[in-house]
Amino acid sequence: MSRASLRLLALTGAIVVLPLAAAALPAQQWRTLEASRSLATTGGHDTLHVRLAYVVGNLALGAADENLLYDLTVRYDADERRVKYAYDPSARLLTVGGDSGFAKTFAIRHDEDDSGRKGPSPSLALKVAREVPLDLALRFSAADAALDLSGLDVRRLSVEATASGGRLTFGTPNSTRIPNAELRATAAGLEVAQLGNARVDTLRANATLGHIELDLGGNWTGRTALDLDAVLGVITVRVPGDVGVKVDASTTLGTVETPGFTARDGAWYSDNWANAKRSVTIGGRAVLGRLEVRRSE
Amino acid sequence: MRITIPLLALLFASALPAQEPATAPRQQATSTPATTSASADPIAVWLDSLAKDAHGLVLARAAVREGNQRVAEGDTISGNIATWHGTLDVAGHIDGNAVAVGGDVVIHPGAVIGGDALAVGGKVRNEGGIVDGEMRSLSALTVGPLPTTPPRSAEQTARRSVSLAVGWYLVLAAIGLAVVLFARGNLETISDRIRSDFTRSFLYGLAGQLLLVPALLISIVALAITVIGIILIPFAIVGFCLAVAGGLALGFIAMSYVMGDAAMRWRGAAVGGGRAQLLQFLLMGLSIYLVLWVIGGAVGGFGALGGLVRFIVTVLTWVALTVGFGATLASRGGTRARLSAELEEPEPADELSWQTPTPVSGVAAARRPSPVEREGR
Repeated sequence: MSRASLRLLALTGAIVVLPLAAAALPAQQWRTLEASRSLATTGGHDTLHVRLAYVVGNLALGAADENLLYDLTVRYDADERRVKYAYDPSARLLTVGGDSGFAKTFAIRHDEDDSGRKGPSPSLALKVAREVPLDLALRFSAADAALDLSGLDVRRLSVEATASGGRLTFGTPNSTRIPNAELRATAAGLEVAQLGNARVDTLRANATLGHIELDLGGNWTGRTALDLDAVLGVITVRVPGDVGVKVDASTTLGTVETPGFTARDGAWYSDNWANAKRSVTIGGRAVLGRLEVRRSE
Repeated sequence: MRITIPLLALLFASALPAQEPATAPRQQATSTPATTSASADPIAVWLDSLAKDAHGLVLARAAVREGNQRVAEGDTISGNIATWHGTLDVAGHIDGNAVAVGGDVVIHPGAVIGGDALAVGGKVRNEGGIVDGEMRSLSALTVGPLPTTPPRSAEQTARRSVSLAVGWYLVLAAIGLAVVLFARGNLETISDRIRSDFTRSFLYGLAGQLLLVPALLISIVALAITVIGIILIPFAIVGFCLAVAGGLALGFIAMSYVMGDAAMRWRGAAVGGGRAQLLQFLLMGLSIYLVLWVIGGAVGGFGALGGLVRFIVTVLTWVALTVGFGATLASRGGTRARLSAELEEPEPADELSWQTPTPVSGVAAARRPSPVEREGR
């Protein structure tokens, strides 16, 4: 084949491919929705129940400005999804979700200005009142989540991440103890910073094909319990040096790593277990996965 | 020129419009108000859209006033109030909703709004008033359900299939060019395997396809058992998928080359070897499949006969993929020639070469120990 023929072949290929590529570029119609409600007119300080489900984009949760019960900002492409949210004053229930076609679920696109530079991606930012007790149930998929619960009064917590990355931060001590909290990462990475500030009695965490990292730092006292399931995944717990630790977890083709701890009666104990002022009991299962319990650096 | 047929096929295909013409107007999520036949008044039309937005409101036309509006301190408005292309300043009392279209809603200290405060194309700014309902700002209205793609007509399906066929042809041609340039030996080995062991290659390919998922699962479990290998699982999955895709592509390219070779020989082309001719045969083979795909795609959407044609084309392509994949597996990606060929004994150099070389001086035969001597010792 001569060079001229190869050139002609390449040119013909370009002629065919370019229209195909151009046909694949869809239109975009970006919208911004901002919604807030005043705290003063919403019936005092009863528990606010939040049910949030978000798919594709950046998700943020934090504390609202003073006198606001909630403050919601959503940026979305109206060609891709609809935003659904509702507040039921009688039940004090805020439901935030969305509606997007399956084929468009993973179509993460950025808007571009005239010069072709990328703008912000789809996002949802929810801020809730500091003074109100919170019952939070958060689910997100294919999202990048930054959940900052600092300064909030959390009474119940459930976080479910799927194919996502998330960071959960308790920057300040929770005003009351949380009886039960639940974290689930499925094919996702979830990092929890200063979990001790949450003052959780019992935390259940499940990492299926995912990774959860729990940092038990923060200002807390008493006892807390972690029930961890690592199924083809990894859960890492970082415990401050002054916290007494007992690890009693089972394995099925998995491992439990407790460097520096002493094995006794089928469990692992830290040296200060008997006389520590605060302690954590770690149980659970490692099924084709790994549980790691390490001292914080 | 030998590549005339593929090029003509490409040019023919490129002449087809890639963009599907819509038979029905696409539903748009838009800030453009929905049209109503009842009125040509733009405000009334727009209010209709506002009512249809999930975050909008129902407002009467009489509540809307053009330009900036102010509810002064001490004033009381019963019901709703809205501005059209103007700012709404509220310092007094509004029983209902306060709405600004194309402007801001400014809530001054001491103001009271009994319903919602809504700004479309503007912002709600609360500077110290009381809003019993919600404060909401929309950059634009979002009316109607999510845009959906209408069902394709037979003609649209055909165009799409042909576009896909051309796309695949180009991708495979590009990969084939790379293979001819950088892995010619592997391609020829796999092609030889297809020619000599077609049935066995098909069976290998079939078994390989059936075992793909179990093999992947076993690999994952094996890595998980080693614990430290858990970290490698994502890489293993990606690597496995790449290897399979590579094997399928290489096998199909080899199969196309065999097809092209056979077609050119049938046409009486001289076979001289060399990269150029290899590429020529490969493009010819791919073009045969392109023609099949174009025919299948063009008639596939038209009735049962079209479906049958498309099915036959699909089966033929699958057989080619399977045979090529099997040959690729059997030859370890073209790195190993046929076993029987390896075990074949070399031809003797001459007719006496079978004889054991014997020194001219002869060979001394060993004496067998006699039993009598052994007993005597």
